[in-house]
Amino acid sequence: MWWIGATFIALLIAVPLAVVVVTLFEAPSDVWREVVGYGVLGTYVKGTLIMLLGTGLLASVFGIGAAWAVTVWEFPGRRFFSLALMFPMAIPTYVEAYAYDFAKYELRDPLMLWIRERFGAEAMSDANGIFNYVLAIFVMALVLYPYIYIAARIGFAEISGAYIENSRLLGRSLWRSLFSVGLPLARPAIIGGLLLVLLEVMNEYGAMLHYGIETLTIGIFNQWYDWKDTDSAIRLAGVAMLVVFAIIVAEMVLRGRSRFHAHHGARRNLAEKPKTAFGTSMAFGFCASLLFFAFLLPLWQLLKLARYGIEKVQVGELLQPVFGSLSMAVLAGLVILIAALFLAYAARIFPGLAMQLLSKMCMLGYALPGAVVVIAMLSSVAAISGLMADDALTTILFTATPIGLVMAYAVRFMTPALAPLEAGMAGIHRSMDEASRILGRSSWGSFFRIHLPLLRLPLLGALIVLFVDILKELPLTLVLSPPNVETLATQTFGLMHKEERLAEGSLPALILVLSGCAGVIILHRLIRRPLRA
Amino acid sequence: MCGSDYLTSPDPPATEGVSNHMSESLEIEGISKCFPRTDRPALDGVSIVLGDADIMALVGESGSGKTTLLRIIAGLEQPDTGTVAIGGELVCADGYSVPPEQRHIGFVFQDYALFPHLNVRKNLLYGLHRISQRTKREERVAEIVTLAGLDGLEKRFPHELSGGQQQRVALARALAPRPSFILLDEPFSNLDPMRKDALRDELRRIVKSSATSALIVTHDTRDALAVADTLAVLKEGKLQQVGSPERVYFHSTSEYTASLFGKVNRIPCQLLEGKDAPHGAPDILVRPADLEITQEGSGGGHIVGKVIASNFRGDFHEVTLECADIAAGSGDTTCVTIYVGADRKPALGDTVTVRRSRREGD
Repeated sequence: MWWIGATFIALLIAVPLAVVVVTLFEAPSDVWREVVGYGVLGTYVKGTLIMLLGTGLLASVFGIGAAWAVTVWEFPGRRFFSLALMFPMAIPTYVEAYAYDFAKYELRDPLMLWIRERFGAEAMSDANGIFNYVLAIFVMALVLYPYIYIAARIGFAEISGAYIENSRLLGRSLWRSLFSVGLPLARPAIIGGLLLVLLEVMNEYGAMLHYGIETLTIGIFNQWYDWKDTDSAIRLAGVAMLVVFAIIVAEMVLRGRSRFHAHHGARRNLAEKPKTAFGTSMAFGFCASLLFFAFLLPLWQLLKLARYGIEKVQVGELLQPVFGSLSMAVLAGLVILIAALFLAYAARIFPGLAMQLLSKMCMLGYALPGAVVVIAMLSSVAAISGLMADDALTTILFTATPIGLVMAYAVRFMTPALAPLEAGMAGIHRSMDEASRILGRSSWGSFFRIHLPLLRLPLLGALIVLFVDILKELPLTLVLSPPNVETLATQTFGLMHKEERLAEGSLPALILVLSGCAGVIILHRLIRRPLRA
Repeated sequence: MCGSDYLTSPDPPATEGVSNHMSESLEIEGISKCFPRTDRPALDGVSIVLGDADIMALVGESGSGKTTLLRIIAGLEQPDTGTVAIGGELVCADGYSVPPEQRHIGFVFQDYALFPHLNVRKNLLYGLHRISQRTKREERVAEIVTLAGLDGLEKRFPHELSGGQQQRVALARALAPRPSFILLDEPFSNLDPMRKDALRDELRRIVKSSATSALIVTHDTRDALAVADTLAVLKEGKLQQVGSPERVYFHSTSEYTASLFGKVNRIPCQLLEGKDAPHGAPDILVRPADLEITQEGSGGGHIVGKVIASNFRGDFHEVTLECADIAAGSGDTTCVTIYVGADRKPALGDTVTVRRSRREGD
């Protein structure tokens, strides 16, 4: 019973991927030869690598710098900043990109005119391309640095407190201790955060499209939509999977054996902080300007746009995407949560290697860019339809109902649901299960009476993360939602990117940002609450 | 015998322990268990009989297999061979195993495993779902609350209780469904050492007044001696000795058991003229408490030694003597430990004579 269920969920993820892999080994089409031959593939790979490198570096500087500032320094508003610096996470990357649209007109255009006058049209064209890359990297890093910030803060503040005290007792100065003990200890956590940033860069569609940067994700959609060339799209997806694989391997190598575990007593905050006027003002200045550029400025831009937008839009027009987003988030969120609960409990009662592999398999989808998931799902459904010589499946999954979209969300977002539940399960001592069994309850009875109530907090946390993730998800929703369903994400994209009606588009964008902020605040509260009854 | 009236070699191994086959709560026979990727079996042919309303302590060092045995009895692990019978009914025999929820036993976990989201009353109610009537369930909870001295704590959550209170709740929860017997895994290891003795006596009182038999696993021999009616000693998966605490303590059948329960002196012997032993003269083992200072001077069975160390232990002094040439002609010196009353502490360098004290039943 448990086995069949878990295997089914894993198959849902494995089959589409298998279809992609199988296609890779078939003879390539002529278009693919051209994609490779004319250097198109090279362009996609180059764009992807530049974005990965640039965003990874800049987000690390932002994230580690901010974490360092709020843990090591004491300055006015430190407690406020330590929460507020997570808010940029609530802004979808494409919304941040649209909000930074003003930079195109107020910064880029005068600069390009000046370059053309000074160095000629060719130089301007080059400079324009570089400018787009720089702006895209800046915008992406502003939204994605919180992943590194959160990881680094946990690394600095919670793990290192006791070690730093120890280092000082061994005769090192506070500063030496922070650099020689604090930073290295936080490294594995920081690399874990960086991994998430890089995966998000691989996944990004809206912002890349907006800045005209040709990444593999963009390439997959180009081949699929503009060239109607499934074969090349799948092959590009294969290349994207290779890059993701390389990133994960790099993370594993970089972490090496250094997965530090804090001793119980070591989870202590830094008691004493260095105080110099220069350092304090630097820390304050860094946090304040980061928050300004990442959150306040784009929010201000959106609000300015919304002032005009609100006059042009009727409330009814807004309610429809709100309803669409809410119903998709609730529906998919619950389906994914129940599946994740099932997997987590199955892994607990059958703690063997096979079940571990199954659950790792279900987590795989999170590493895959949305575009790859889209291609994998559509092509495997097409393959099944081809076998059955009937289009009914496509209709049922993607046109008549949102089942296909929910499945795609499940493939992509099983990890944010499963990971906190597995951690929560690990926190429930095995003797609880045994005590419940000895007191005469079956495994189902134990699940409902012991595990489910004890998992309350991780469940709530997973639900909020899922909700926010699904709300702002763009590529899957864009392609796989039934024709009559409009969500906040698709409407924002449609109005702000396709139709360039920034004022109207700012309204759904603002709703997305605000609900994201609410999610961040609730999560923050949740994490700080003690996990006892 | 080695030329002495008093110093005797250990008793020959005797099959002692529980011989009453009328009312066993638990009978296990020839249990063996080998975990994968280990060269030594965790349990090797262990057989134990637990009588009705009897408290048995299973003693052994960590790694001796005692917890594994407990988990096999509870049905949380399966043995490779052997049988387990509860109340005369077979619950585990080659390939056949009754799941833990149907064995009707109580289990007190080392960490107590109190459900953190349920208060004391609900923890106690948890195992009573087979009682269909609500009032009956509440009655039983009230009964067990009184028995375990938990009055006034019913609304508290586990993290709001002291270690001793948590233990009593765990014990009460195990006893509430009136199990055939209860198993306790290291119940004393999480207790405040200052209050441990009192809590241990309380535990014995509760178990005794519930008239349930109990099997207690512990590595602390002091606890085992104080709490149990019967001791079973386990070493490297093999049962060494079963018997009453006094018997196991003073008449250990092996040097391992003897030294497990406290300090023991190994004293060389010499054969009497005309006697023969296959492996030469044996050493004998004598507890410090079995030796006393005598004024009678030397003679048969008396040992003379010089005081080389003396440690104050509260109620007594632990005095170490250096004795030359006990087994005449061997030329070895032997260290002998004796306990001396706090008021009669000998000075370092004194020469004293000791002999084995007489005990009833010798």
